[in-house]
Amino acid sequence: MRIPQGTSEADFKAALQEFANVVGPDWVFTSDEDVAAYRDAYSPFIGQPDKMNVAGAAVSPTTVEQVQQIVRIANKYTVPLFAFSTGRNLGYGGSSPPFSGSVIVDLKRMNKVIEVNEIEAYMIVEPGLSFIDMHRHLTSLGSNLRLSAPQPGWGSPIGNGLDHGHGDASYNGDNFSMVKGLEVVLPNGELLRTGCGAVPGSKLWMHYEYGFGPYINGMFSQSNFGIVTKACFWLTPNWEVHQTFTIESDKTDDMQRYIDALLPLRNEGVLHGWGITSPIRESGAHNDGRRPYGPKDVYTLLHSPDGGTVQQWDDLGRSSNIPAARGMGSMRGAAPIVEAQLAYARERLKGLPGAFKVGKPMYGKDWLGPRIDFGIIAIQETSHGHFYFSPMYKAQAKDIFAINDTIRRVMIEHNDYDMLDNFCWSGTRGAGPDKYMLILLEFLVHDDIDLNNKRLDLFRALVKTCGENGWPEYRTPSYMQDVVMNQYSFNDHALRRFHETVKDAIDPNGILAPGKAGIWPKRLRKT
Amino acid sequence: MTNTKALVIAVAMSLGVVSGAHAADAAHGHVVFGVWCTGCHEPLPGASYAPPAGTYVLEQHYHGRLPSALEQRTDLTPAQIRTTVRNGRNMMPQTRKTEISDSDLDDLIAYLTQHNTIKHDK
Repeated sequence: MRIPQGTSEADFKAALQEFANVVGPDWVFTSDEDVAAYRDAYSPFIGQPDKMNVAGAAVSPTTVEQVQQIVRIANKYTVPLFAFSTGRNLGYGGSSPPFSGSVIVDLKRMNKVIEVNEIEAYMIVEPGLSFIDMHRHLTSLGSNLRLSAPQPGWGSPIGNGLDHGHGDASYNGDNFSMVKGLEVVLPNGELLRTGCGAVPGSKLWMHYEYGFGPYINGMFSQSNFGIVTKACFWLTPNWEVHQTFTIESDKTDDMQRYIDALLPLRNEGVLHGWGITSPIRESGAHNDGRRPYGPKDVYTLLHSPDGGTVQQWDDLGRSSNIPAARGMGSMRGAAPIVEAQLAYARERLKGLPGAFKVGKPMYGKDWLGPRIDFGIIAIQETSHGHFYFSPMYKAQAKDIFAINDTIRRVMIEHNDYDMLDNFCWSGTRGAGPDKYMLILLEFLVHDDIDLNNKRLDLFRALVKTCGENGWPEYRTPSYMQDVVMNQYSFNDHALRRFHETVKDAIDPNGILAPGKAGIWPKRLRKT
Repeated sequence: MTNTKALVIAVAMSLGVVSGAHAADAAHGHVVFGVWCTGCHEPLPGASYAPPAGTYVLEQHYHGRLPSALEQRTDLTPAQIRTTVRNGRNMMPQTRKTEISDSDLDDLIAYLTQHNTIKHDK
């Protein structure tokens, strides 16, 4: 049993006994076998147990009152807790705590649907409920509402929303924007409801998230300021049809022209989603398991000192019949409206070079709902999963090329041509953010310890260099929280110091998720 | 959605994880499989836009020597199923007792081994 630093073994065991009194002995897990089930399934520290963040024990409550009691007991014995909703945040640390020895508060059994309102399009749910559970519940009700789900769908709407995850139905793909009222157990065990939920008998908890006074929902996202036990989400009505189009050119320089035309359409609400990429540059990528379909010369250009000139890439694209620039747009809704939007978009893009191609419409009834798809990634059968490098950048051609070239150069500096070939180049596609974009680069985990360590060094270097260029991570695995928080260093880390001030005020014993988001309580903070 | 599927889902939604000794129930194991395993282990070609990961990997691994869909296998042993569910394998993550309880796992094993030609102890 791993005893956390700063807690005596006697206190740790006394706390476990009191946890058992609250939830029953069957739901406190202390055996090596049971606690191992809370490890990060995709940890890059496989084979290096001394470096792996591990839990000390786990406790699984079913009610808010039990969560409150667990938090109060943890304060009494100074036992660190780490709560998760479903612990399926794979690629970002999963169920593992940022501070070893923490007792996991496994909220999976708190999986009730409190309310679904079809006309007002909202739901109130508990954290252990998964996207798949909720989709099935909506289906059983005959509901016309849709969750904004990521794939795989075994994660939790609450957990995903609080970690700033993305889905396929929310505006910008931003699931936290769909979170309205929260119910939170604070670090002292007190229960808080945010926004209009703070009004006794409130009818507007799920309607108006701001309430009165400071808006604090964000303090409970990617944080260690409380344990969220309920959340109100807005839902999206099913759309009749989802329609896509592309416009492609053999000239790299057309990319910015496409952006200048597509982004205003997105801003006007004509497009639900849009994207921009360079297919010839992406054509060698196989990090996600795709077999490269591009010509071998892609790697020759990638490996060259300047990464290939625009002329070289355009020539390669032409000789390979693969576009150098591609813009994408999508719209969704009632068929007559989508038809009009498509015609309008076509008209607006009329003067642009390249072919305008209309995709096959996808009807709402064809949507399969959240699933446990890993898709083609599964081809990498020898891997032990992956972790994500996920920087944000501006949706402007200059920035897209700059971040891609920066990543390429860092990989070459690390002499990691395998990783460079896997990555190649990244644009973005589909529904999702508009003014910013995301790179989601998978670092596969292998049996080879040296290779995993080499990749971790590369990851840290990429985070540092991209941070210095203004491209921070939006989310990161539990073992990289400090590294990423260091990117946000304006004015001598004023943001982190503010977080620490709040942490010390509301969690003076430092028991909730020490180290989450790089926020350490005073008792564990390195000076 | 078919009525049968709707019924299975309705039953699944009403079932929490339970513990305690009981006779293994293959019918309930089918429900557990539907909730936890189908997403990755449904037969090819799946209805999804991407191939179900587990089935796809097993197909590449066995090259037709054994069925790639777990529900078509008649050689899986209880120990093999238990170990894989609890510990995971390669990209497949481990599954905790708060997700599939010990009794649910017994039922899942009963379901996946019900057509075995050779019977194994648990």
